[in-house]
Amino acid sequence: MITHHLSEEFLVEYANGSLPTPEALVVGSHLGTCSECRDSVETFENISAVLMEDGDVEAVTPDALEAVLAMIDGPVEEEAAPLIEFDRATLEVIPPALRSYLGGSLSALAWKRTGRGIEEVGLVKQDDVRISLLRIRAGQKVPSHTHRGDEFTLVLSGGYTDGDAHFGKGDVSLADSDKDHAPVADSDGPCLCLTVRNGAAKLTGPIGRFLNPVLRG
Amino acid sequence: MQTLIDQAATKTRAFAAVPVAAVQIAEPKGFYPKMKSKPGVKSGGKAPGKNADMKHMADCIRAIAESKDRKAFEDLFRFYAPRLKAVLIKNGAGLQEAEEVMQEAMVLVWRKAEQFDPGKASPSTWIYTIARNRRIDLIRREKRAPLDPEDPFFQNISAEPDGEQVYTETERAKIIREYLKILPEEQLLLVQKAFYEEMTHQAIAAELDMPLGTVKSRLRIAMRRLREQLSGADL
Repeated sequence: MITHHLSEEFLVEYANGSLPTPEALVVGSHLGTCSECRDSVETFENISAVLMEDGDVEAVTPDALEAVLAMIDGPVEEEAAPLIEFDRATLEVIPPALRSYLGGSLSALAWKRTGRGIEEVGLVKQDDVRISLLRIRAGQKVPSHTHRGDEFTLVLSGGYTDGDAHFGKGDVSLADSDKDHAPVADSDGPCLCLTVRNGAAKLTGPIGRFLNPVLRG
Repeated sequence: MQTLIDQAATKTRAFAAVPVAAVQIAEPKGFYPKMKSKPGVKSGGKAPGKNADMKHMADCIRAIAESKDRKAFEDLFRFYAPRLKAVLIKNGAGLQEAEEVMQEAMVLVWRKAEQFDPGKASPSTWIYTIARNRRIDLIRREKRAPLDPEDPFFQNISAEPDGEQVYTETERAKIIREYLKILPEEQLLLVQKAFYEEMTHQAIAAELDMPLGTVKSRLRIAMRRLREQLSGADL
């Protein structure tokens, strides 16, 4: 039972294709576990489809149909390189949307100790975006910290408590900067999380967010 | 992997008002951003044959799946190609770009016809998501695929919705269509920007010179009521 979802605007932008890749990864991974949000996205797609059906038309080029039929007769574009063979334990825990970010099965990844009882694998490190897997030992308290930007945390297995709230498999939290938090992993097993940090959102609130890109040139 | 990362980062930044040239697309005029100027959209206007026969469309897709029926494909093409192209242009694509993406999407409609499940999606929703996924893949190499219920990930959790859907796909489309008719003008405008022009909340707020919070809350209100209707709350 998922209790922590993302706010609806993330789902709207995921459905209409305008959400940037790091956030879309969080939403796509959450959708793997959350049928409620999947249902919302589906409804949004239904709306787009109805608007398209009833919407404007734009003349296609005169030979468009012929061109498409020729492509259909042509060679099938090769699918991307063969996927990595993940072991069963990995497939059961890593949502389909996240798999292309992993270089191998969970046990084969280069886990680095980043704190007491905490291990991390960096998946993406580029400019302001950091995408990692985090493994926290059972019962481990993560030192209190704040973030420079937004941080999304999605529980892949196990769970943790942060203040009064408990987060289990599929639950997602969005902490923006200044929010002080100190999660504690459940005592019955390790907690595996996906974290997506976006340091870019240093200024928060509607005005800050709007100005931010301009400030960064 | 590196490419994906680059583009992930690029897109995050391209979220900004700076017109970053489209990534990996033949024509340098990008889909994003769509904050201000739109290319001169010469819209062909409302199409004839509105409220097309969705049962026929579903039959066409099945005929393609079962017997590679080209006549059926032509019917689909005639209805959907001009509409997909219009959506792509609304989204900020140039004419050439829109034509190319539309054509590629229609090829995928042919190739994926066997995956179509009329119990899960209406023909329009299915075709819309194929075109949207193709567009996302082109602009930022982000692959989206329908969930596979056989995947080990769903061993202990269901890939299916919790409850039975109250309405069929056709009925859902009808409810949405009726709902949009009675929606207050101010909400309808936002729904069109979000779901037809496929804009971000931020871009909508900028274009309409409206606080971001207002855009979000109005859309949320509009969606809540719609979801209630779709879940059969009125029954």
